Amino acid sequence: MESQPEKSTSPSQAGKNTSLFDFEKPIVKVMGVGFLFILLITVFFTITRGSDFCVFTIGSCTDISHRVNEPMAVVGVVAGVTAAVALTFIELPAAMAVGVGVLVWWLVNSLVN
Amino acid sequence: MNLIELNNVSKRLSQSFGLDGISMTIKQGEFVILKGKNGSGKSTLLNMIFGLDRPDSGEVKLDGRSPQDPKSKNRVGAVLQTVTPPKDIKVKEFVELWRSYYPKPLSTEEILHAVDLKGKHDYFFDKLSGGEKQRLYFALAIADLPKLLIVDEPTKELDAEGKQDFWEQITRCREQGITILMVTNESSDREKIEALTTRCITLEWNKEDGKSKIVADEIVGNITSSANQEEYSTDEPQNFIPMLLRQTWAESLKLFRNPIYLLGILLLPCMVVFLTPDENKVNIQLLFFAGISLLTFAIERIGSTVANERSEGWLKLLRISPLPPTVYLAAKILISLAILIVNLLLILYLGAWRIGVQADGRWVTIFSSLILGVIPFIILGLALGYLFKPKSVNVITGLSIPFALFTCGLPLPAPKSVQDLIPFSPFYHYGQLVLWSAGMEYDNYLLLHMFWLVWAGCIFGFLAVWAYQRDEVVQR
Repeated sequence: MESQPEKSTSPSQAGKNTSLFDFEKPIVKVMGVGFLFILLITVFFTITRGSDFCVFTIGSCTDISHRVNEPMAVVGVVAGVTAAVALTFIELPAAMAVGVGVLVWWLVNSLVN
Repeated sequence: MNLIELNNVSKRLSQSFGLDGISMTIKQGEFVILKGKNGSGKSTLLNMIFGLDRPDSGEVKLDGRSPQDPKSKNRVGAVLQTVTPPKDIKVKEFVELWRSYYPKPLSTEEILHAVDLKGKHDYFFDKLSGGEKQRLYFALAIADLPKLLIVDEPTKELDAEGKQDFWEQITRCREQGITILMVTNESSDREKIEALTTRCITLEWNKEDGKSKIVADEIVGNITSSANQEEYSTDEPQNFIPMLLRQTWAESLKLFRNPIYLLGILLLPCMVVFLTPDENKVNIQLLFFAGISLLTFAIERIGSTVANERSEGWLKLLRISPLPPTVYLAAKILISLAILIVNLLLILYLGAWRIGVQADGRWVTIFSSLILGVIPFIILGLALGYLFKPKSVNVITGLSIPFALFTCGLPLPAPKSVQDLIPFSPFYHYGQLVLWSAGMEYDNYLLLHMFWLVWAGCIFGFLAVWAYQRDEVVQR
């Protein structure tokens, strides 16, 4: 058998290589800074909500204008989306499920209008 | 020269099992048998030698380099269990693809002739017999006339004829001076093993402390000369372009051999003819339709193919080759972009021709925004492919559609606090970018939307890299 350990590694290194929270890795540092940035913006949007102090405005001061606002049109979209999601649950490939969803949307739209 | 070096390597996989303080070296010219009962950690040890798994402590070197460095595998061949080549590629095409990963490979004819698969060029992997599959794995292992061959329980599933074939190949490799590390417990092969082996290492798991250690390391024969092996440096930089071209070619073959999927790519855009030719609505409907179609293909296509190849064992096979993962991923992204471009061109063309959409000369801007904006979602699909099983990727893609529609303008009953979170969704920023490109009303923060999409691409990219590096990727 080979001679015993020539190089020893400190116990603190155990598990380091596979840890998501190893802050010595540049990738984890960048992700950490990014998440802090997102957190900062979230706090900003939350505390300025409804006020006149608008820097970015989206989501805080401005009402996001929804473009599909006819109830009858919404019914078709909801039916199509429900069909598409349900089909992915029964293992139909998502692209085909979306195709069926579009057909359902078109059928419902034709019926209600 | 040491081809494999392990210095005090430890790896704990569970409370009751782990490798402990494994130290060993394998020199050029040796034929080493690694023995041990089932569950003694032989495969875990091989995974660490190949860089498929990282040790908790200690150091592993393969051909003088870290096994995570793709160059360390330039002159190492392997025949492993639980790996499968892609099923949509023929034998000859697959060998040609595999050759492109190595700097100085044998010719395709030489490789197929060496393992006696000459008449099977046009067979798909599924159509080969057990012995022929084993010979194909052997063909891959010798593609670059390796210095070191690592073989994991090779004769386990073989019939008598297959075993005979296998031992002929091994004897030929020994005559060429190839160093061999073989994991085996087959007692029926004892005679062959005794005739060739130079060293025998035994691993044993101790039930009391849950640790597996080397308990015996015996020299049983003389090391053979490796003088007839061609020497070349593995320090030369890898040439990525031929690898990328060959990998992209293989991806396109897989696509064109899946006619149902291909039909789906062409039929889904054709559904644009169902849109109402109403002047006020048709532009926004077309943009919604194009966006949803692109998002579906972007996330589902790459996510499902990566998840499938991972579960079939193809990715494990790739990881033991010198192919850098970036080349594999770049080929996947290129093919996905090609699919999305065809899809979008059809939608825009049919939109203009069949339902009379007018874009007032903005077609190029619309096209570019839709394609560039979807790149972060292709990367998301990649991350999903490494994190989940194929079925889950499909369901997540399905669920992302209502989420995308909601954040892009579909009014659903949701409290104000939920609506305030909409700007954090990358789908929202994609939607706003597309509205800008079509010259429609949007919230006037174009730079913020671009920045957010770049940021989302980075986050999804880091997630994909992390998922790729996760040990469990190869252990499932």
